[in-house]
Amino acid sequence: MGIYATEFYFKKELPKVDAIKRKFKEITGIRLEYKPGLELNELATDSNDIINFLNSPESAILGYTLFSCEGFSIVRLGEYMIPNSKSFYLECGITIKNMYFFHALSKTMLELGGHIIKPESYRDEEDLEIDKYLEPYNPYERWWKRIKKWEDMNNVERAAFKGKYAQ
Amino acid sequence: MGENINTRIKRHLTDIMKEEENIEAWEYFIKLNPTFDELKDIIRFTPFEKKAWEIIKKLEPNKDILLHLAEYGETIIQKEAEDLLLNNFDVDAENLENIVLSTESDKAAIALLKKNPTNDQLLTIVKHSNMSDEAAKEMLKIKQDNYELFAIIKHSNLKKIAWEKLITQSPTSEEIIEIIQETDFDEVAWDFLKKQNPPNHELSNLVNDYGESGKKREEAVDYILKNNPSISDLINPIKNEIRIHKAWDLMLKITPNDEELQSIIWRLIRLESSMKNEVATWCLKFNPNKEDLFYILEYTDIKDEAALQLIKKPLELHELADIIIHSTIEPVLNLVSKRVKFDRSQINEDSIIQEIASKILANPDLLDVNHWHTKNTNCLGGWAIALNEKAQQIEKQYGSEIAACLLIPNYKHLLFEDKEKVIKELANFSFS
Repeated sequence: MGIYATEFYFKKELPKVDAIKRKFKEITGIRLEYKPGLELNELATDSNDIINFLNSPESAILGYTLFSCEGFSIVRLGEYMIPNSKSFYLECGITIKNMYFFHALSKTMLELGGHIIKPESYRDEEDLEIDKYLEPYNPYERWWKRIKKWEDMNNVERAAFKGKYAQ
Repeated sequence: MGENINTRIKRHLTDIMKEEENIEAWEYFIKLNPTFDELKDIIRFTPFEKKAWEIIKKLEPNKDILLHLAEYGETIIQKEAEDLLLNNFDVDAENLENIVLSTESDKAAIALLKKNPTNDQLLTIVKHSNMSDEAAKEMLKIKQDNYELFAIIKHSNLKKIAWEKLITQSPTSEEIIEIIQETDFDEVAWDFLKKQNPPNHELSNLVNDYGESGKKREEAVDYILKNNPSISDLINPIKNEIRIHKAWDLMLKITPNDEELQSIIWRLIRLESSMKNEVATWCLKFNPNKEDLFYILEYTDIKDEAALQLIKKPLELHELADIIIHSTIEPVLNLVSKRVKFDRSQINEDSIIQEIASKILANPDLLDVNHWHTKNTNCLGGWAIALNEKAQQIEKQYGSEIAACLLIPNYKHLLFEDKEKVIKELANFSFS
């Protein structure tokens, strides 16, 4: 099955999960859930614990890290994020029925200071000219402006988010 | 029982050194008599590689340690490890090949040549070292397939001999194009290709030039244009802007079938070639399907013409919204207002804009272009709706875009614009 994916880049650090949840609620009025895909057999207190776990022979990534929202199909992080990484993918299945959640979560990342990386651009993670690969974010553009609070949208506006390849 | 305590401590110290250049961790680490394997990890993963290498050298490393470092160590250590290895040990052909592959070492390549290498190992030397002529000479003593001959042409000076053999082995157009794009044998290869009279589609890789070699693109297009090109043959030159007008003139003489029409619209309109407007105008003559009409509507300036064709097709309400935000010609407005039961005859667009302009110019903070409505502000379309009760009902049922476009159709271009542009145009309206 194909996937629909968008890559995000943050020039400084990645946003905290709590901040993502708050901003998402502000945009959509809906609660966001987050499930990390790495389960440690001990309490992890900082990134060193995670690094050590990943480097140990016992490590196993047990599943994708997921965002979920009641009534919508899940969105996942494309790869388990390497500590100190500045970019990640949001992905969903291509036959998804409703793209509202995916696009609203994308808008959330942009509102928190992220940038979308132009599709099909090949670059080094450490490329100092990263700006040339980033798409501008203009919240007044139709694509983003149409993402209102879900409960404030009528059926016509909601229908615009119907997945193109929904089965 | 598990690991002993010192091993575990060394592992944690290594983890610290991976994260930071912690000299204390290093000094504690070496007091614990690290093994070769533990020192290898320091070389590979920490900033203490030089210190770890000095210790390894004093301990008289064996062949396996040196092999590992010759392949994977930092560059300066790699070279020293390789010298120690090749000067003091007899290394087998397989390991020599691995060194050549990972470091492109000429010393390892020379050693490998003396070991009666297999054909694959000779190919590695050709591709990854400066001993390519010596290896190629050995390879050419026996029959080679086209892939191997390509490597010899690309990497060695025995190009001519390899080429003479290649052309007796029925190379495909794709293989010849690879030689054109990736070697300096391009002129000879192109002349040969032309003489084979390849069908046009086999030259598409030359025209598209994904590897950005820049070679023989115009020549390939000239060949195609003289060789009775089909619609799909003509798309690539137009998309790549090579002999674009000649290709376009030829395309105008052909009537596309449905599949060709979709291909043209996808590749020259959706993927936004420089000729998208001319292409769109032409495509509209051939009754494109709904999806393709929406591409023309969204990606070109030929919006009104595309809208006129679209409104003749069965449309869902959200599709009407997609149309009206791009085109507010009378037939579109009539269709939409009929569908949503909105009487436009009572609407005075100029009065609406005048009222909004007065508000916004007196207090620009009332304009928030990023949201239709917030607690105290609206965008331009949002303000138009806020000032008309009937429009508010339309908005509730059919959405903000339809409601706003019915009220201020001649200002739809400002619905998704930045604040500065909107205020500027309101000011122009106000003072005109």
